[in-house]
Amino acid sequence: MINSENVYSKLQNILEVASHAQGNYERFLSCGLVTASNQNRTIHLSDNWQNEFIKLSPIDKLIVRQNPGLFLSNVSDIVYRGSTSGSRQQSFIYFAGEYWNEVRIQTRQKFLLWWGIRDDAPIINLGSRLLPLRSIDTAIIGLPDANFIYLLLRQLAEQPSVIRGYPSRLCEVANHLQEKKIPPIIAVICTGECLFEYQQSLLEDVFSAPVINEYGCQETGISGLTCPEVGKLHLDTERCLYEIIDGKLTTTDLLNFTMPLVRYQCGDILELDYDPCPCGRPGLTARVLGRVEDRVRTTKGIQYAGEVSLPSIEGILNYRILCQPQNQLDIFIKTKKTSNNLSLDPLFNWANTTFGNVKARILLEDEIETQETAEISCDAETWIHQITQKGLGQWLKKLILPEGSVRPIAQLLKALLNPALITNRGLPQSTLDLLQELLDSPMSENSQVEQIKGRILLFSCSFLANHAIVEDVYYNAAERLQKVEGRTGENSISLAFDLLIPSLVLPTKHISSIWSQSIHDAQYQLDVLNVHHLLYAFEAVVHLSIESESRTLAAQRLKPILSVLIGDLSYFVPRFGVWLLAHWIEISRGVTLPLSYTPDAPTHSDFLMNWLTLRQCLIREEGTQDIYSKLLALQDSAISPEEKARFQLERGYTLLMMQQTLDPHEWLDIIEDNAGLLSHGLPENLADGVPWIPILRALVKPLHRNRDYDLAYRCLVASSPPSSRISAFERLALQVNDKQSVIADLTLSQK
Amino acid sequence: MKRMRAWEKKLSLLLLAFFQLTIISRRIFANSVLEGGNNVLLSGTAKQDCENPQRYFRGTSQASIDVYSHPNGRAIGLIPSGWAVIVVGRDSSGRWTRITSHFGDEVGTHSRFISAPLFRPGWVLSSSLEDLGLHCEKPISSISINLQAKSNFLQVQEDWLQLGDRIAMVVEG
Repeated sequence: MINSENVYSKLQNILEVASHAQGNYERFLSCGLVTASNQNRTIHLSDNWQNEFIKLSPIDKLIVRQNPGLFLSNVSDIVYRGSTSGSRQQSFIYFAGEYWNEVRIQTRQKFLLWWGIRDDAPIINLGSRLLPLRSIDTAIIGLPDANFIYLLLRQLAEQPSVIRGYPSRLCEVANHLQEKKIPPIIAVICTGECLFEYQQSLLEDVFSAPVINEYGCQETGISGLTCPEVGKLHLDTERCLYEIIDGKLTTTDLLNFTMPLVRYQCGDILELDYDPCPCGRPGLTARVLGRVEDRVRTTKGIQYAGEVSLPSIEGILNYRILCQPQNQLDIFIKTKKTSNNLSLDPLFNWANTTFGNVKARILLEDEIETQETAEISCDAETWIHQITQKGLGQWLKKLILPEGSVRPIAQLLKALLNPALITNRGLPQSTLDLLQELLDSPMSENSQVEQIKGRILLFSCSFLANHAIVEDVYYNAAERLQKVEGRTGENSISLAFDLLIPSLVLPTKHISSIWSQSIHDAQYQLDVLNVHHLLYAFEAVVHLSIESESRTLAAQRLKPILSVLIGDLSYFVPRFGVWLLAHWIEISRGVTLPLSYTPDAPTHSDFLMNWLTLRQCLIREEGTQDIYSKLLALQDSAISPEEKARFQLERGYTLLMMQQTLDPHEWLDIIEDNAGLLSHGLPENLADGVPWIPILRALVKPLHRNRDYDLAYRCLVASSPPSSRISAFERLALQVNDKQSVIADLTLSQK
Repeated sequence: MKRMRAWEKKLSLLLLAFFQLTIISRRIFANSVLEGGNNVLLSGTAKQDCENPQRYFRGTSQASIDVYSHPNGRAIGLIPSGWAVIVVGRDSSGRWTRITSHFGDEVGTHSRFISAPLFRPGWVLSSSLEDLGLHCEKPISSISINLQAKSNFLQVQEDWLQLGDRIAMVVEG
């Protein structure tokens, strides 16, 4: 129902844009929504488009997922990248533009203000696969164990916050907090699942805060929030057109000109209410009934999960329902601590009324999940060997924490690598406390322990870039390592290199002094910790340059520069030298170190020397002739297949730096032929795509222009490098923080 | 109105011992695949540093997968959407597959996963599973993309720590 001039105009705009995406064009044409001129291949909305729109068949996730590229209208305005929730095992990656993103943020702010939640109120996403949105927001992930609860209470103690998450996961957290004193909470936002009465009641009781129901579906532009006065869910009709077709919610995103989805069914079932809400706010309200696949057989027939009343029941904190075949009903319950003499009569009565003649089985859930996992311990030497020679990922898999004075060092490293509290910026206070503990600790008598302490402190500098204490941390570590060196007389190359890496992130004024005191050997043998230290430093220097809006020319033209740095490390790590770090500082920070501080590239390798010379030519913006002659020299010196592959990669970078156009099909073939040769450690059927990302990104527009929509989409999807934050999030959140149904019917679940 | 049958009013204390998934979930670094889509993402066989990697499978359906007591038997449990399982074998028709957890039959029978409380080892329709490849640990998400439907897939979003360990191995090698 289009009953607003404003929406009418927006719909016309989005249909015009969407009609140019191949995925929409055919269906638009078939219902007469558009006409096409054969002569000049222009597409127009038909004069009678308002009536034809009603005839347009909806599409769903399955259709889009088969070929998402066909729905990509515009590849010049891509600001937002998201992934559908995949709750139906059919997720895809979608994109949106700047205006869409701005309005999304503004709408959210407006909605939250209804509840008096201002923009400076931090939001903690709890136990749910929801990344923090703003710089002041955080996410606490993983199982709600003792550490999880500690982090939550600590965050709340620092500042009153809003907590947000899937209702089922918030209730799991609430289970652990019953009768605990909790710092004040501004509000509880429930999102992503149906919110049932007992959940709302539990959350209100435990958190002593209003519970807000949020509804949204990013790929469709849907957003909604309950109002404080009446508790009705208000939908934002400025961003999205809502319809019900064949009983299913069908939406048209009015503002996503990048990947417009028109009459799209995301799988949610809603009841729309066009009557004005008594709160006085205009617009549509709705009741969420659940997902199309979430149906339950009750005494009222087959209902959607959200239609079933799950009330609060005396003595029961939390419960879940599973309808089994042959009239079996499993009820998992968690009781309140104060329920000494629990009567199940209210539960029986409710089950009787709701499900009728069933065989019910009560299953009591206990609190085992609050217990910490037993840790495996080891001695200091074993642990140090593990993290410097074996692998950090491997170390975290085994969860080995050493005993003794080295333990706090390991705890800090674990907190840095595998944080249960994810921030968008900096470190959580709990990790800063661990760091401070080390800074304040006396020198260990064990030189090996003191050395690793110094190295981990240096490692932490990458997490503290732009933080006031980063310089103190660096010099504290440097001083310790100097004392150890004085004590032992040993001069470790790995340590020397760890002292240099933070020059990627420290303020520029420190770079000269750091390098003037460094070891200038041409060749270094990196250990595991050095490699990880470099990777985190790469990420940090890239974030710094984005925040300070001071990107170098290379960072502007080779996007993302992070993928170039990772690719360099991956290729040159067996031949690593200080000269390479000096180059990275120049390419990422624009700081050229004096020649006296840095040795030249090893002269035994023409390829290496020519590579460095070419890179320096590019970032110093030397003349075109010089650049091409250096490129030719590199080509001539490429002997092995790996070097030839590397040459192709550098040729791509050269063309991008010189703002030349790349032929997409030529370069897709080049990537196909060469990426595998630069993919150490990956299985045979997988090639390392990271170094090629700037090239892939540059191919998107020409491919889209040439109507190679599918390839354009794939290149776009491939254009996102790895992220330490996303990895850390996924490691802990996977499968334990997903959405879940608290009421399910096995006899009706779809195959 | 239908009434529930008379049954014992004392509390059935079937105590569920929930395994902490902390150990497993925090050890997951395999660079396997994800989400479906023939064009974009793929199931890859990651090189793993263990003696006996196992072959993991995951449901292809849009919702949870029913688990049955035996082929054509009664439904006894659910595999949550996206949850990886291990295949033990198939029936003679190939239509049914016997699955279990990464801990074997012990979990699901005598104890439960927090993340999959309705999981039970048993039988599922073979068509409802997709192959995630060989892994030492249960696979987590990463992104691999096949650009031109040729042989190689490009790995673009590897787990960060796994990336570092892999690069470091090149030094060792």
